[in-house]
Amino acid sequence: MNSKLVLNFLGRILLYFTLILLLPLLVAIYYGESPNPFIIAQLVSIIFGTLFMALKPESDLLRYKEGLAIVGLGWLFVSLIGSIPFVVIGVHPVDAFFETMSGFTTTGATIFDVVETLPKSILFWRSLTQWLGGMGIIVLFVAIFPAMAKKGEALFQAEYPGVTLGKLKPRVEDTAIVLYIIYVFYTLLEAGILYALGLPAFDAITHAFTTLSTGGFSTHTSSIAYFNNPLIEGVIVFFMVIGGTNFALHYYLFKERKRIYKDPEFKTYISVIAIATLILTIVNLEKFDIFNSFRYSIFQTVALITTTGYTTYDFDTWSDGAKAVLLLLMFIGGSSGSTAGGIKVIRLYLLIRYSILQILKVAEPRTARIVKYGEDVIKKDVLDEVAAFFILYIIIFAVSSVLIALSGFDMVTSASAVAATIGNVGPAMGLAGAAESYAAFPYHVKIILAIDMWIGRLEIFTVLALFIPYFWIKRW
Amino acid sequence: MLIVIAGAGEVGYNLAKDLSHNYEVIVIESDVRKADEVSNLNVEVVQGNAATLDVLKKARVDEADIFLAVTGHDEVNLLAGLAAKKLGAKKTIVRVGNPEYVNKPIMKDHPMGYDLVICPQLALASAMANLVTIPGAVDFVSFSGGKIDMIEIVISPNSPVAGKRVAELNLPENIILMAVYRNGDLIVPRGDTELLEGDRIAVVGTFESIAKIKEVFGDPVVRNVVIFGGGVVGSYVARILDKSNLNIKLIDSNPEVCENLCRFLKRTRVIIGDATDLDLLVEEEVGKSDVVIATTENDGKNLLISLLSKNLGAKKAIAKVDKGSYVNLFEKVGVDAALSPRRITYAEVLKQLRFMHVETLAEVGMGEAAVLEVEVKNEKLSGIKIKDIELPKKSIIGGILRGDECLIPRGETEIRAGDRLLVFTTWDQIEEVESIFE
Repeated sequence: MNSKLVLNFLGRILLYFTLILLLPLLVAIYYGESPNPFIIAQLVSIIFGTLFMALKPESDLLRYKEGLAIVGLGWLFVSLIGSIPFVVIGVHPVDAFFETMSGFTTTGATIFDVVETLPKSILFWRSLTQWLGGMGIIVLFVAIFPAMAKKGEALFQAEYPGVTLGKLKPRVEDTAIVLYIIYVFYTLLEAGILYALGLPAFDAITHAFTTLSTGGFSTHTSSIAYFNNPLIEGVIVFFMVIGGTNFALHYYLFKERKRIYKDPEFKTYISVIAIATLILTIVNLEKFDIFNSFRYSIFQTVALITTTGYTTYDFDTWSDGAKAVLLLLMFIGGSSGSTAGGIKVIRLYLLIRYSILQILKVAEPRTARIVKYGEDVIKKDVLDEVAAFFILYIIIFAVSSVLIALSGFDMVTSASAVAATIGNVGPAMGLAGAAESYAAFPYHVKIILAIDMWIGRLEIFTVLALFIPYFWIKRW
Repeated sequence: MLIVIAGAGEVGYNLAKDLSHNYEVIVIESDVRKADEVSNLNVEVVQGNAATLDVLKKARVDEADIFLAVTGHDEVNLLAGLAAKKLGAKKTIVRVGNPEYVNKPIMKDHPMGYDLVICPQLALASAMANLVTIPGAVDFVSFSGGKIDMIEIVISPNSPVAGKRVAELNLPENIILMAVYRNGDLIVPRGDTELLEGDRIAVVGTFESIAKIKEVFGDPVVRNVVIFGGGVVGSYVARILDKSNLNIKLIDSNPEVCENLCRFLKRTRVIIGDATDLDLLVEEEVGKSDVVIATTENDGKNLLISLLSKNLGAKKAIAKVDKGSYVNLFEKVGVDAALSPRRITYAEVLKQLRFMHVETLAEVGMGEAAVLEVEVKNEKLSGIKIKDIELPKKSIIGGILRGDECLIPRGETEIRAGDRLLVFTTWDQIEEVESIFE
């Protein structure tokens, strides 16, 4: 491992990060609030950034393992610095770290029981962390700063969610720019629509931030239920679906529209939403009339499968059948190349096809078969990686759930909290339910959950690779 | 003595050429044109398949003292060897390329009746593995069945011994600096002989003490070794080195080969990739390696890999060269040691040919000189001082092996019957030297 280069890049990331901190600083000044939380964070960021930058690497060797280390640690460092504003306003450091990690990983799990009392600049910062984390901090830096773009490929891969099938643009920085242009476009569009529907500008912008990033932080304690407006919910549902779609498809929307209808992942994604909505609508008929049943069901379905985690109704009070469906949606997650979390539709699609292939193979061992994704043949090593991802996801889910259950929490709370954090969803069930917050968990549980978010957002491998001592110790 | 050689390839031809000076040689070759070529030498040629009894009889194998099977086909060699033994050849030596037939470089008294089976690929691999740990070493030969080793070292410009006098070297016990080759001349080192850059020196010592000379010849730490190519040679080198505590990377482009290698290599990291891909070499930090060993099937590729790696910063490059005539060229352009499986076969066969009266024979330098291990059997020589022994002009007694000891020969040193002497000499004088001690 070229550790000095890794630290040098981390320093660079921290210095760039101070520029981002200017945005909430301006908001604080605009609303006449104290800018100190952000200034202190900037100072710390500059100090560490300069220290790391001062380390001159012996070689500019940046391989995939250095890429993993830069991205994995980059997210950790940014979350640590990003939590400083919360600490300054009096939040416990573990809580602040949890909240920031939850922000950057677009989880949306919060430790604030009431958010309306928080300063506007802090609320803005929460939403901004989600917007940045949605498309990816490193991708942003790759898009903007040529110094990062030079070695962008390895970094891009380490942060990219889902299965990579081809490139949008030959140059990685161009890909990053295209992705961010689409992202900014939709964000502005949603903010405009919400503003036109009568939301205050601040709410419109922050909610646009957390919808497109499928984050789920709201500026209101009761989330989207606060607005109690079917039209606004409809708009948010639409943009959540957009956020959970592969951004490459948005690009093809203007280029070659046919690809979108042909994309197996997109078709599966939409079908799952439709089926889950139908089931939930029927199940929920015992509680609501048909309009409200559909209204709440489609919102919660989309909010959980896209791992946004907004709520319009406390789904913890729904029947066990409905909750089981919702828990399943948390695992499925959005599409690859989207801002959503979870296992991702494409992985499940490939895994199911692969499993069926194995059944057929047992019955007809001599027949040659391959796994196809649309026109593409999926290679064996991609399938291996997908299978490993699934297994690791389940193992991490199981281990974390047991750890939390051992800390004295019930099964539903433990399992759903882990599913909601590793899937970057946000609200869980039981004690961490939609109407509750994560404030009640002890600190060690919060740290476990924050790590789960980190692992989940960077798609397991990037983070777990950091813990392989051999990468760090071995000098050659 | 009658020697029958089956196969007039590179090895067969050169053996026939060198042996024909002193012995009666008959060559069997199936290819008409090659047969014609060999007939220009001072040998008799029988044209035909060496694995057929008629041809063998025609070549008088029944009278042969030694039958050598070195054709390009393993099966022909093996079959011809069996047939020759049946017909009455006294010794049979067989070359086998495929390591499935033998699992070590040199096998004596093979259960199928061969006196000696040589696998040049494996012999090459073990020679390469031996070269890895000694800085500047370009050749490594064992005498007396491994009790005594001789290493040939090239003095590099940054070697700590460059410019030093022999007396200042502080050589460990049981180690002798036997000879210095400078510009093709053989110099007998004395205390005041200065070692210069580019000298090839021959150092002899016991196996245990050889390990210590690394300290004298500087930068002894070999940690990182890259092996290119996972074929017969590459995988055998890896197998030998895998038991040491070196960091080893093996690069091969065939994923199946790589997966197969993982089964028996525990410490070696097997990397799938093209060895001539510069990006891969940079990524795997080949430049930080102490030794690179190029063992791919292609001579040109091996040269390229060696030069690329050295250019990136690798300290020492060892390359396999199939064509023996390229060895000098390789070493001229910057490969530290170029080893040819054919040359190794040639040297091994020559060594083994002398097992009746000469123990070991090694080639030193660019092939101009030879080191001969002879046992003193001539009772008349017992008790005589070295300065009183009349040796041919270009021959020197370089070392005396008495029991497990390695003595430095001085003019006043007396030799005893039963001593083994390492004599530096030239090819044409070998017979003469031998006759003195018989």
